[in-house]
Amino acid sequence: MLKQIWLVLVLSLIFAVALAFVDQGTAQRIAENRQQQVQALAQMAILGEPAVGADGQMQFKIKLEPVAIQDVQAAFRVTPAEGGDETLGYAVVVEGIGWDRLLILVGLSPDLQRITGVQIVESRETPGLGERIGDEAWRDQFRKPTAQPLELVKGRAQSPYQVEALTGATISSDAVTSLVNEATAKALAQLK
Amino acid sequence: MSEPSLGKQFTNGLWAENPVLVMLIGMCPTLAITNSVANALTMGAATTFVLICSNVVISLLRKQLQPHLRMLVYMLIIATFVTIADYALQAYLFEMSQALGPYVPLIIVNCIILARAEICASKSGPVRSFVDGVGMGLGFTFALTILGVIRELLGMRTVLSYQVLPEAFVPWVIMILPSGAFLTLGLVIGLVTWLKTRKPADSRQNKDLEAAA
Amino acid sequence: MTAELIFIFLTAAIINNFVFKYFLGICPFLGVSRRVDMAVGMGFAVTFVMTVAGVLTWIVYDLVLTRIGLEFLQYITFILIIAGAVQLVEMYIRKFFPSLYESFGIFLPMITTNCAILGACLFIQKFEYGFVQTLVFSIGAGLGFALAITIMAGIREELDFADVPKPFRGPGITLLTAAILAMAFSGFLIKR
Repeated sequence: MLKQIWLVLVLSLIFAVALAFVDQGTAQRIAENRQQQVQALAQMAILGEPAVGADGQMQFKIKLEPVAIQDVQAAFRVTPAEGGDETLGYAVVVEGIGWDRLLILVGLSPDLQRITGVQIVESRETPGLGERIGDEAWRDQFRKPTAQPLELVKGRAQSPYQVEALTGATISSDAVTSLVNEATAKALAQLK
Repeated sequence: MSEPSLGKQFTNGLWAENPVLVMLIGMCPTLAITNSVANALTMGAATTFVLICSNVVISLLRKQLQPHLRMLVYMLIIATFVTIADYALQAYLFEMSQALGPYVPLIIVNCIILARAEICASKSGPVRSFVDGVGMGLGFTFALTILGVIRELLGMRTVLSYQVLPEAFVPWVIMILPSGAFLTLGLVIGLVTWLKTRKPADSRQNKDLEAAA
Repeated sequence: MTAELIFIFLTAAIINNFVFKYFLGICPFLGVSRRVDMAVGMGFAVTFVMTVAGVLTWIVYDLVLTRIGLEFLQYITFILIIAGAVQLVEMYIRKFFPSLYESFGIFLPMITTNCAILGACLFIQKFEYGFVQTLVFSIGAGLGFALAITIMAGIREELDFADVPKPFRGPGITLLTAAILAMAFSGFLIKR
């Protein structure tokens, strides 16, 4: 029995050390991957330009600088990648629940008066229905002024602060709308 | 009792004792991950990697293992290789790792790996364990791919994101939903069971009798 | 706070049912669900282990591993804790409920490989729950599993008298039944 415990301890040690090496070896790449994912979405939301160049490599026109907003997943001030400290806008990442965990990034203009874009970071909505929140065309609706919270409607949008829900995906549409409102409200309250 | 040849050991995992379709183990990822062929293939590859590595290591340690702490040692070894696979995916196939989500660490409790460790690796040499790992891994990937093709094709008209069915075909969205997963697996298992119990043995027996006569 | 806890409980138990939405715990789901009494017993055993494991893994990860920067040991420590928890439960049941212990047979130690338990521990980390939320979530998820497996057992007891085509007897028909149950469960929604 004692020999067994000895074996388990030795194995644990060997494996722990091996994993430490693996962790060291991959940590930087993983952190980069995560960072690039948010950066690419922020670029899409603020500038409307994808971050993939002609050769398939990632090329960023923007940099992200963290800013402090309470109760959100993450918030950044967006500046040009090269040259200058001009604020191109703000990117706020908020988390909520639609059908399943939902993570979206809301792009705001430098004066916080306008939503410049909404990008989906993570979603597991119903395929074919809720997942249509990934459609660029639907999310373009959110590019409105931030003076009032946006309201989700099922039919046609009557006023400039109304957003049309996706047919058959009210829950997901509603979740995105609430999250957008939450992001704008918090940014307006804390960044001014 | 003589051990089967290495070739037999390999094909065992592909059909005769296919882990998902015959032995009915390792179902959790099979249902979760098969809503697209790309996901299915990646999961199959990751599981095969863990299976092969753990089989070989356990086989090398088999003389040291004793009943009481055996399970613990298995879990330790499997968890280590799964961590490696998970980190590798996050580093080099980031989007795929996000799509597969929590199901990669769940490879640790994939009954297939434990079953093979217990049935084969703890009792055989490293070469046989390696071959067994490859066979079972490929059999698992094969099952995942069949389900993946059916579900992705009928649910989204595509296979590996290339559209195969015409626009006129209205996708059966249920195929990519949980219900569709249970449905497809149930039907495929029914089909496989039917294929295996169709009594081909009768015709072989008759041939043997004729040859003996 | 209470509203949030109720939300977590109901979501874990019913809306995001571990069996019908996340496909966790399928092996025992197919294996043990033949008789209602065994299913209920298994359900409670799993709930107990899940709660113990959930809380212990939370403590070890949040209070130890992250503090000393050894996050890469997460999977190893989690599975060892789970194995230990199952061992504890086994000893407890063997001492106080010997007949139950006998009827469970091999299924009790197999709870270690129940993906639902490791799944629950990992979800707790993903959703970044605090201690009380972890407790509520684990109990909810466990009871949800118990519910799923009991419903299935009830149906299978009835199916024993039905004329199921030969290739579908056993796992085939169980999976098809699960398909219908999954459809039913997907009707449960919550608007936050």
